[in-house]
Amino acid sequence: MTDMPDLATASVPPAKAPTAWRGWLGSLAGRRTLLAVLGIAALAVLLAVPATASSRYIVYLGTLLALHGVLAVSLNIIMGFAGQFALAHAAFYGLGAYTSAILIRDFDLSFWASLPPTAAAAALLAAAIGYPSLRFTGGIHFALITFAFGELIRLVTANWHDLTGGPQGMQLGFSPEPLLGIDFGSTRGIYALAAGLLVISLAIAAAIRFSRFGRSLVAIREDEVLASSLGINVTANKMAAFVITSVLAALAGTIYGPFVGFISPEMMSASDSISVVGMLIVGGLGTLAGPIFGTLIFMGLPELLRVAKLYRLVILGLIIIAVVLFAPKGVAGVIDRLIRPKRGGAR
Amino acid sequence: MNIGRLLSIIASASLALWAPGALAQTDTVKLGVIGSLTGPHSGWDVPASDGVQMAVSEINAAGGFKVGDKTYKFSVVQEDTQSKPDIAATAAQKLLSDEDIRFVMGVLTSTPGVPVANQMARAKVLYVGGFTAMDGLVGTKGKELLLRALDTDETAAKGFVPAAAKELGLKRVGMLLPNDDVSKSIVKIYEPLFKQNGIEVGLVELFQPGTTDFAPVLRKFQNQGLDGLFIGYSDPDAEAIIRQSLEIGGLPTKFVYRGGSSQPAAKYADKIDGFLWQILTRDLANPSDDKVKDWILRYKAFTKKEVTPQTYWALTFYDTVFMLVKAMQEAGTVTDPAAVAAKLKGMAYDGVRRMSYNGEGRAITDIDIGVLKGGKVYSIPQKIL
Amino acid sequence: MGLDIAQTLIDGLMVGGLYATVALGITLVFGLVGILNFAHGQSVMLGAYVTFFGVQAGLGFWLSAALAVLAMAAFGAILEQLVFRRTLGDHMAGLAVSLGLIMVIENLAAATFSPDPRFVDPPVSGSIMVGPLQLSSQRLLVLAISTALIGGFYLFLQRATLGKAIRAMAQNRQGAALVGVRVSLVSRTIFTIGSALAGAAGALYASLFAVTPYMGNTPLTKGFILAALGGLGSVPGAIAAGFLLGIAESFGSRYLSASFRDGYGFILLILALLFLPTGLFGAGKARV
Repeated sequence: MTDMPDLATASVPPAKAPTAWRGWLGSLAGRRTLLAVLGIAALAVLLAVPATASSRYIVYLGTLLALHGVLAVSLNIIMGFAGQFALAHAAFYGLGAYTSAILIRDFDLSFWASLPPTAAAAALLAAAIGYPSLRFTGGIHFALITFAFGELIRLVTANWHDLTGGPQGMQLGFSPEPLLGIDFGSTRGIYALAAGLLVISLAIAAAIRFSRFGRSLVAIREDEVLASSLGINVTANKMAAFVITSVLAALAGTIYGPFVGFISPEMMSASDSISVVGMLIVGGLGTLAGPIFGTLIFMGLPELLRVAKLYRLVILGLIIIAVVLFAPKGVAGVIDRLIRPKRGGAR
Repeated sequence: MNIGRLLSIIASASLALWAPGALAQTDTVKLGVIGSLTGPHSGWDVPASDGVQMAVSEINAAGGFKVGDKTYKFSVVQEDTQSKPDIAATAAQKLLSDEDIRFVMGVLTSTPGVPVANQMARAKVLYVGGFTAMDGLVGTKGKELLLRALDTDETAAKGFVPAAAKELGLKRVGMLLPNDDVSKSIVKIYEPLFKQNGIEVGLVELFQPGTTDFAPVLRKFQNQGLDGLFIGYSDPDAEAIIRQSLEIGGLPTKFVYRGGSSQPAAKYADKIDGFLWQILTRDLANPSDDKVKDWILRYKAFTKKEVTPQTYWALTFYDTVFMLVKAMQEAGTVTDPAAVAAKLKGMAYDGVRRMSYNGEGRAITDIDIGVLKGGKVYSIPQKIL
Repeated sequence: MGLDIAQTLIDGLMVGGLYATVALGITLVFGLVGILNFAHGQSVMLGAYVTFFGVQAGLGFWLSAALAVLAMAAFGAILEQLVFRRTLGDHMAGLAVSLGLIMVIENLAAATFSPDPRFVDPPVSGSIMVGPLQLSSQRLLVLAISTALIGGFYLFLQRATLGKAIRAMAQNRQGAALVGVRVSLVSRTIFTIGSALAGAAGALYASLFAVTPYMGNTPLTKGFILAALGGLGSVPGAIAAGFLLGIAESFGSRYLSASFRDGYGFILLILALLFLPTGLFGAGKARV
């Protein structure tokens, strides 16, 4: 994204970056606080309602939202922070679900024991895809390679009948075993897992954002050549971000398995990867709260628009278009702008 | 708008909401309808949902149905699975969160279907679905309340394959199907049946679902000594395969189709030597039965849609709603899904079509076998029931 | 065997022509104006529907196809004016906006046209013999039309004033503006042409394959692979890549597995991106 020929990048005031560079404490004092508070409030609602609701539907909806939240938050690390277009996210989500399910089926591992090898497999694959494609500057090369690899993973999954059950998918009978006295096998337990992973992902994203690593990523996003002249190892940083992003998606996939009880190659389709990208952009790229807003809009809005039945996805589409055209920094940007005047002197 | 007018609107609206409950003499049975109203699977599930809605509207317009000494009407609660399994699981839970819903119908495709069926089984709700993977679920332990509204391939193939041997005089066929779950079970069932009926299976090829250009894969079937092609189960695939095999030439001109309409071959009737298909229901394209003709008129009036090959799903679920009512009446309950399921299993019903469920919960219905030969179309009734 | 290979090759060329037509639209819009329009496939779908309804209304295939091209040109111009002009050069925004457009167009189409597949009667049917080769007439016709479209467009880029302005803009936007090219007008023209090409591709698709509201995804995926394979913005690259992909898919499906059909394209793309990062002819931009 370095030498984009147009005004879009230029419209981001470069003066903003140093504010973030002051780190967590510095930004707490800034107007970002309110945005952060709102983000945390949205997250709290997302987490608290299903945890206390008696309806299993709410718990399911909560799990669905939390899993997609993990996808959005993790994709934000490579896309929002480092400015790299990754289009294989759904493939890693599916890879996690399949790897864990196959390990549990063929090697008799417990759900928990299947997590480290699954994460390792995702990390390896991400590194293998990332190394050849991230050496190039600019996002498009990487976008296309991840897109092609994502589809390739889906097609291989659909064709490798002996291992994956082919296009008919796998029926899963397992549920996570109790751990530390908590029953993770129940509907609510799986929700707790998904919500827990969301909180962990957010914590990782926040930690990255305000670390030296995160600052390097932002520097890479703003100008790769400049970043590299500042002594930042551009390829290594981008790869690290991509590996973290992909591992988190794969871990979300391991929870998807017992949540739905059924996995099929369809969960890896490119359109699902693209829709996570959409969540990020609508919510606000590169912000911590943005992915949460995006998830709520993408997954929550269709629920609210039930009356419109056939037309609710049309309405969602229109809302997405409107947000992008009239609020280019996403919902997080809108909230940011709304709260700015109230803070008076704050820049 | 002034305050008074606003108040009067609110007052009348709340009156309207309150009134039916107060005045109604009848009770309501909530019927859950689930399926992909949006996304690529909606081609199957929208007609199915139309069928349920149509049956419900007719039953309600006739004053409802009597169970014991009480009269009931249906109210439909609908959820969209959006052609995706995780959304399907959540949508199923949304239906189940309404504890008054004890009967649910819908879903004809396996990817969203499997999670829905699993949730329904766990909640002990009576669920009538249609998708192929349900064959593996129906009749297993803990899935006693699941029923499949479509004939299994095993049932239909028993009459179909001998008819193919007799009508088309086949000796050696090739099978060309999409690489998916339905095809897997079709091949498993048809391959041995073909052999039993003296037909060799020369070649089985699976193509990527969504393929539109069949020329390369069709070339694999050239020079194999085949006299017939078995061409899957979906109309667009079948039509494309017939058309493209005629275009590239050197291929058999007799086709066996496991789908439910003659549409794929209609345009090529004078160029092919035979086409056999399964009319899993009554022939909707050229109805001869008055009951069917009448149903089609009502269907068009109700949905404002034309009859297409997919209308078959509407008829299946239409009849299923009436069967459900009959089962409720026989069981004498609208609240005990297990009792109703027990009555449905083994019940035969003479609706627009003749339909029954066996003891496991699989539909067994009369089918017709359609034949297109020498430019003429006729059908052979198969009494399976 | 030799005959079989020759026929498979021609099968590949025929679909390749279709792919190239779609890819041309994508590479033009993306490479030259910097607009990432994932909704391009939906223009193909709408073009196919215009053709279907035209034929159904008795206009005949050719008139309907022309109508599809015009309708999609207008559609493209409107989209550019209302939506994409505001996301120029911002890939992220362009992607998100096209995602919204896909949702709107696809679901509106499904709601109004119903998701049932429709078939268009092709203008010619059956097959002809060329020497020992039996070839589908309609496919040959599609190959001829797509070749004519591609060739005509190439001439336009080389000869016409507007074509030269487009090429000037592709090389240097500011420079083009300085020498008097009206950049915004040219951008809109490119978008209109790209969408018109999608309409033409839609008409050709409709003459061969089933028309459904969800048919846009395949041409789009293929188109993006091709635009990348050819080098983004490279017109000859996209054309060559289109034919290459058609041939690769045909040979893969014929001699390897047909259930892995789309996989061959992805493998081709990955190899190309790894070893020829600037596209087939080295003309494209690896950096965008």
